[in-house]
Amino acid sequence: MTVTYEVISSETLGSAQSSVTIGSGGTIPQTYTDLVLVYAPLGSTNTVTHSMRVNGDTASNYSLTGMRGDGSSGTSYRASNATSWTMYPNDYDNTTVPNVITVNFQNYTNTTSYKNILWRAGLSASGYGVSAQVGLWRKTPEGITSITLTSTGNFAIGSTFSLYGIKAE
Amino acid sequence: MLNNISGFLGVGGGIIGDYESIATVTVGSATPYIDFSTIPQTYKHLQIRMNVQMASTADMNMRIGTGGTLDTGSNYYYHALYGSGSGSATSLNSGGQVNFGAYLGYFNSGSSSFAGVVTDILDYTNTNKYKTVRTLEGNDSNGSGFVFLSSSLWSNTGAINTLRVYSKDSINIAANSHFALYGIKG
Repeated sequence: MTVTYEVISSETLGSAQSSVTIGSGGTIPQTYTDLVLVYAPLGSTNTVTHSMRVNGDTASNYSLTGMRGDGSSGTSYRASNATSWTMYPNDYDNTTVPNVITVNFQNYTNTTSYKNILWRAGLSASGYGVSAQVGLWRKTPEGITSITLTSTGNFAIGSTFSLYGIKAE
Repeated sequence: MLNNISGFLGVGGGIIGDYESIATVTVGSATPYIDFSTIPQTYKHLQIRMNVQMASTADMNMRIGTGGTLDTGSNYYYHALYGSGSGSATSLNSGGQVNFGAYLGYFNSGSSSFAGVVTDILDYTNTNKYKTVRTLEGNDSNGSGFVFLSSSLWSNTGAINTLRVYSKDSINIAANSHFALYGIKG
C-alpha cells in the first residue's frame, strides 16, 4: 500500500488579495490521480463572492450544475458557457465566518476527456447556506496545472488554501 | 461475467500512512460492472473515487458483500437530494428496502464529459451495526446535468470485503472510466 494523500501547497493569507493562484506558472505536479482543494475564504465585505479558473483559461469553457439549501428551502441552478466557475452563485463570502469548501478534481491530468470538478461548500451564518456543485471544463483536454481563485473584492487576511494530491496505485 | 474486471489489491511495500491506495480499475472497454474483492480489513473507512461515463443515461448502484459474496437481497435503503439545474432541489428515497444496492446517483451520458463521484463507506469492518454509504456525485454537460448527495443503508452487520459498482438499469460503464479504492485509517 502506498501513502497517497499528500500536501502539494498550503497558504494562509497575511494580506488581503483579490486573487490567489495555486501552481502559478503551471507548476501543479502531474503525478497524482486526483486533486483536492480545501479552502476557507473570508471576504473583504459581506457582499463579495469569488470564482475559479484553471490553467488561466478565460474562454467560455466553464459550466456548472448546483444546488443549495439555506435552512428553509432548497434550490437548484445552472451556468453554461461561462468564463469561470462561480463557486456558490447564491451566496457571498463573509468577513468573519469562513465558508468551508472542498473541491475534487477527478483525473486532472488526463488529455482525452473534459475535466469535471465536484465541490461542497457550507457557511453557517444567518442568510447563508450549504451547497454542492459539479462543474465541467470544456477546453481541449489538457492536464490542470494551475488553479486561480478570484474575488469580486478581496480575500481577507486569514483565508486559507490547501491543495492535496491523491495517487491511485 | 463474473469478475470481469477486478481491482488489483496492492501487496505490502510502501510507507504506512492514514490514507492508502488499495486498488484501481481503469475500464478498457465497456463493461456492465467493476468489482473490488478481497478488500483488506485493516482500515476504519473506505473511499471510492470515480470518474465515470455511462453508455447511456442511467442510475448507478453498488452492491455490497461480506465473506466474498455480494448481497443481492432486499437489504438496501437510500435517501438522496439532487439538483437538476433549475427549480427546487429534490429529495427522493428508495421507497422501502430494495435489492439493487446503494444509490450512487444518476448519470448522463456524453461523448466527452464524465461524472465525478466520491463515495465513503463508513466503519466497514464493524460487525455490530448496519453500514452506511454516502456519496457526492455530479455530471455536467454545459446546459444539462445533475448533482447528487445520497446516503444508503446496508442492513447487514457483516464486515464488508466485496463491492460491485454497476447500473441496475443494465447500462454499461464506458471505456476510460476510472475507479480507485482507498483505505482510511482510524
